Amino acid sequence: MIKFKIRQLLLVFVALVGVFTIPLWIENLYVIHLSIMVCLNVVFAISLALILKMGNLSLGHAAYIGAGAYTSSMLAVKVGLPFWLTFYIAGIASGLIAFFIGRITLGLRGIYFTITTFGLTEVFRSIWIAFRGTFGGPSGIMNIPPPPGIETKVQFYYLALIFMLISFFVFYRLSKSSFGLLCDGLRFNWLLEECVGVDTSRMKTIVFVIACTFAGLGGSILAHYLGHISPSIFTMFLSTEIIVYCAIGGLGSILGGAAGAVFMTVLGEMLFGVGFFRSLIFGIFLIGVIIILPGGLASINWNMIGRLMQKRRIA
Amino acid sequence: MCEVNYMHYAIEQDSETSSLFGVNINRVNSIAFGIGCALAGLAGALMGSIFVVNPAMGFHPLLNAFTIVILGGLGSIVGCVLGGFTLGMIESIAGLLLGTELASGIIFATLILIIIVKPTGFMGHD
Amino acid sequence: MVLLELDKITKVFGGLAAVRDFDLKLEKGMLSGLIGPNGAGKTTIFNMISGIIPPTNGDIFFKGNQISGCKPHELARRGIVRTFQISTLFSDLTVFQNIVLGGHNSKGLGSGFLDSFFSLKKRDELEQSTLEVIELMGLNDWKDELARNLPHGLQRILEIAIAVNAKPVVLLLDEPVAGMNWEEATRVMEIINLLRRKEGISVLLVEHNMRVVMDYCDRITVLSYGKKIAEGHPSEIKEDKQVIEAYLGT
Repeated sequence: MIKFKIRQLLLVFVALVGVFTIPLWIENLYVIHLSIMVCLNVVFAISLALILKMGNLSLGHAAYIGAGAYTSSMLAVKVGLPFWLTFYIAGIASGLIAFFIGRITLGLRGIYFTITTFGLTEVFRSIWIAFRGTFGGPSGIMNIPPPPGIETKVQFYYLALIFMLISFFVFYRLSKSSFGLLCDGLRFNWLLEECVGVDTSRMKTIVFVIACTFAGLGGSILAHYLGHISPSIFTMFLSTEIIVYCAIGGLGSILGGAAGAVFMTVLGEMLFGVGFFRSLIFGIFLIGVIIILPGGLASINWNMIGRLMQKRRIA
Repeated sequence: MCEVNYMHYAIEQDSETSSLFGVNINRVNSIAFGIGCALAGLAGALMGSIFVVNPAMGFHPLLNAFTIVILGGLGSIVGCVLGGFTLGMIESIAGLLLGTELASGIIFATLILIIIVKPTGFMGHD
Repeated sequence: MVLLELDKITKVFGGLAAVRDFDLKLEKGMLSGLIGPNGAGKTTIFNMISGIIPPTNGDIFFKGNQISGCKPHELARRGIVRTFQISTLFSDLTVFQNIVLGGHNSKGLGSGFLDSFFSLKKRDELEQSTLEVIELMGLNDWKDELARNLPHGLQRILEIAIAVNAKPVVLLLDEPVAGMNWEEATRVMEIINLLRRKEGISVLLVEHNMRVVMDYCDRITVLSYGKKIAEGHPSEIKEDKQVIEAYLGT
């Protein structure tokens, strides 16, 4: 038992050392860019994974990422606030929006909730496109300043990495504790959970707000990294990409969502990184996972590998 | 043909029992899916002759379709027709008053409102 | 001492009165049975007591306080816990996890947020109480088995275990021994009697198994088409002509 724990800790330690020193042994700036995107995608994926864990399919994650991005950019560009302030305000903004939208929509039955989520994405997009004066219209907001003190891509990488590690710690701890068990209960049988004394609507709101707050924080970092955002980034395509990360990783698993995000971001870039080929890759993988491995990466355990090995031996 | 219609209702309500009574679930579902996709393809062909054809041309109509189905009520064909007309009216009037970009936002705001207030739409049965 | 009182409860769905002017008093420590043909309104009454649907008319009192219209989770925290007619479990969680969830709010762990980052004494107390319930209900061998893999009889026992871990004052059991043979049914009823003695739980039982109802209930209320047609000691109910005609047969 103790040996197992030490082995795990050692693995984590080595992995941490590895990711922290990537810029030392890889000089290619494209790889650094990729790593930054991986970090952000991981945060988006694990926040959505928590929402999925409680049984709600949200196709509107892009709306909250965008809300954070736009809040942060507008405060930075028009009001001149520094990133270290706009970052937190962006998170709070996304959280507040999630609170009000969640209060109204989380009580709705499964598919109706899902429809309101992607409805919200489109409503936000149309607001961002229509009000050119405030939000910059279709061309969006430009010249978003990077955080003070962070000029190079490598420095941005460390910022994203630390953000990802903190977020992962939060969501992982949440999922492994009573909080996570309650979420699973909500997913499997919310009526039973309500009848044993859990305030399910409050629980759902808490989960939703936490998840969307982190989505907004990630959106803020994304905005300051890219330097330029427009409504065409925060579409349902983005939402479905994040769903694919979680689906590949396995429903109900935070670790799975993170793994799915890493796997698919890297794969997407390595094969054709742009446009419709990307959608093709994602589509094929999503269908493949559902047919071959419905539980996602998270359902791979020693049982399964043992059985596969057995099959080969008999054959 | 009418039998298939009843089989649909049966599967919708209790698929396990339906299969015990001899309904071939896969076949009936495939027929339904096939008819639906065929109609979609037909609509796409018609649209293609008016608008541009590109791989993502289905996206906007898809969102409209969702809205119409919800407005009309899940499970009702007549509802879809009514919903289609209503959506067209809302889109045109909103487009006239507020500009086309905001119009699509108005449509989705309407969708969200309908779902919150009356999820079954015009003619839906629950 | 009267714990639960239903005062002229009525529930109307559309044009149909599912329950009409129903009265009931449940005293502390009592095991009271509610019987009647299918569709008589028994589960509707349970749904009203546990807060899932509000009564159209009438009031429900618990320990003297009016509770009609409260949400199910509020009632559960006050001590009114129910089981369901249809098998209702957390299917893909283990037996242990199922029962832990049942006891979660009775230990005051709230949303479990703090438990994620600090180790809490409440958490250990909850695990301890869960193990005790598992021991009591005889589920030790199945502790780490997924709920959906359990045979039907054990699933029903698991449902009762989940309700028990919520530390109920009043336990509403909706057909707890449905589908069980005599041995299993007796075992369940003996556990319920044990809980009555040890924890002072009062029980309201809906059942179709007449042997169980007649042998174990202190008092029986009979419901037909939403109205009470008889109430009294099992020996009286057995002889009541109206009850025999409506439900029992000869």
